[in-house]
Amino acid sequence: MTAPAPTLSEVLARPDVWRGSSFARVTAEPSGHAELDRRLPGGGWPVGALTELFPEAQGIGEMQLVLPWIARLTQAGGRVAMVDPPHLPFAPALAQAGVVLSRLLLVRPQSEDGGLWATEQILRAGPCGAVLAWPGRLGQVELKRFQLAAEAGKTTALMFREPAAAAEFSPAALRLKLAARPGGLHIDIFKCRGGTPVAVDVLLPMRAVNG
Amino acid sequence: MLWLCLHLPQFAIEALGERGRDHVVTGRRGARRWVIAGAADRIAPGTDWGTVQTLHPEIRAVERRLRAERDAMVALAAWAYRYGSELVWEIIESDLDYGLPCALLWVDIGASLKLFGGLDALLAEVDAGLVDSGHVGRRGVAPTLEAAAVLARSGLGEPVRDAAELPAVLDGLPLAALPLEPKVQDALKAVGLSTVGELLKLPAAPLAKRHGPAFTLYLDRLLGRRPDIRPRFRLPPKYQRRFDLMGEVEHSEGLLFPLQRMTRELGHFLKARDTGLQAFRLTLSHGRASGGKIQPDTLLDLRLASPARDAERLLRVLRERLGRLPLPAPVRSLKLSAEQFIEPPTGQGDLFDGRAGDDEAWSQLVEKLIARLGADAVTALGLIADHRPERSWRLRACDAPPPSPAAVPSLSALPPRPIWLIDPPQPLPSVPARIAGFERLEGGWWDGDDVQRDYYRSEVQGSGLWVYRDRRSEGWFLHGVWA
Repeated sequence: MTAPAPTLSEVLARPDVWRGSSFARVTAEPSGHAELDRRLPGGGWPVGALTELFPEAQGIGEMQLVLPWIARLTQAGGRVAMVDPPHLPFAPALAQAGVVLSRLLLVRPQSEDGGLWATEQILRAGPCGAVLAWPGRLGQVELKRFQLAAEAGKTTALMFREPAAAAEFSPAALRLKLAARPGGLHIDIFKCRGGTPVAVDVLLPMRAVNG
Repeated sequence: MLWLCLHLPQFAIEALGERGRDHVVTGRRGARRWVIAGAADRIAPGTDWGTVQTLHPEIRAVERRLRAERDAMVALAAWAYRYGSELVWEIIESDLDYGLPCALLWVDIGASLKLFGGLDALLAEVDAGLVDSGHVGRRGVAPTLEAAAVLARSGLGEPVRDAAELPAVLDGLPLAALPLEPKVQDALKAVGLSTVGELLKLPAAPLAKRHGPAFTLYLDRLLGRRPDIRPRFRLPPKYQRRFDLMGEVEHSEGLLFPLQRMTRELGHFLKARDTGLQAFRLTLSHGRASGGKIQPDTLLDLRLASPARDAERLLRVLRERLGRLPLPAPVRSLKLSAEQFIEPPTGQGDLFDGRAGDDEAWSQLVEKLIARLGADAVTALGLIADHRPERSWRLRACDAPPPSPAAVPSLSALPPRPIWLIDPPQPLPSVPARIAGFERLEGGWWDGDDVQRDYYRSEVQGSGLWVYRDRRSEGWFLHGVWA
């Protein structure tokens, strides 16, 4: 004798059944760019998760994209860590963007391993609300560890990576390709947990001057 | 006054830090050699060394080290400080053949009973703490120093709170329970006395006449009839603790176990002094290398992000630092020292604010990063009022307090600056294309670093660059990236 077949509503009520139309709630921090926030689930950078950014080249405005959020975070008393940036972050420019310098931690390790270790420690410890990291080559294992550490520390982790790495699989919650456009950036949101992939153009005031 | 006395029969071996089951400390006089302490499960203290060698060939003998015992006693006293501020300790040498030294520590707990919730609760905590610190001891509680010691040595754990009860409690003890000179012991035995009770019944004047005033003074102090004015112990102003390893340790992980004990002792010391530290030093001594030349000591200076007295935090910093340190040679001994003490801020707890715990987590994180990556790699940024870009910023220690608003130069008049600075500027092979946004910077003749530059924005394949033309050399340089 078999059990009676469950009704559709019973099946849908099961916690392990997911439907495409309803997305998990994502906690996020507004990026400060309205066009971008509208397209991101939760309305900004996901908290307690990994975000990967793939700028097509250095100096296309990738920092302008994150600075408004960093400025707001530090002004509210939060802390931000930059791990292994490609160049020296220029203090007057950060201050001009509104970043409170005393709330910014700059980690420049001698070795790549040191950078990966530091990133994971900072993500896991939690006192930094945001971590911006420029890791070199990352394997699946490191990405998974970063993702878990960010979850444990409820930290927003932004990784700036080489464009070639965008083709690899990644457990990151959000993955964006950045391309230069006159006066701004073209952002291809090609992976987005809790939302649908979409592309969006963002205007950056600093780039407009540059033209 | 209510004295708690701890009698530590195995102190000679405990002080050496080695709790290996097969080591004993021996005493030596002429050709005679006997066991003082160690391997307590098999060998009674006082056993002749020859006998030990026959029965237990696996046992190794080590020399007694008085200095280590004194250091260990100071460490133990620092721990005992939490139970009372009046402390006395003594390491009594026995000058007899087969004599056993005796380590005693007294602390006046009379004023602390309420704090710990009564005598029983306090004693239970003492017992647990003693086991924690790796010592075996017996305790006695009595209103006088001497009586507490007698109770501890004879194993009478029952506390005596009133001096009037003392004669009744001591009554049945054998005379040998009193730390009297052998000459006096023998004389008392010869007149037919065998218990303390019989001795105390005798009139004082004839006893003084026969055995000297020191003897009756001892009895008076034992019963509390005369005050015991021994100098009280004070903690030393600087901290220094040496720890000899029994063997050579080749890997830094092997140092963590002794360090755990050392940091715990340091934590006790800081708590007893009611202070904290922000910097301390670990010295690793290597002794003679195999080639015969002496390997210099390895000095590790450790810094904390904020003053601390927590042993776990100190150990964590040491662990991070040792984790990335290849030992140049096997380590023979460790020394932990600290000279400057800073009282840690005692944060007023706020019921609704999680910020305090956050700052704590922040300090710990920064310490961990600095311990592993070095202080140069973990910094904060600051501004300097100078219009030359390369001189308008500086690295700050990340545990330094934030600068006062008045000290921060104003940037309102400054034209936009790029996020990345290329330091030092890189010469460009050719004149960059698409230049715009002109700005002329000059000056610096006053400090010998004179610049005359025309800055422009440039763009190469979408990347915004900040370039300048040196007006003296006519060369072009890359100085920043508009990221």
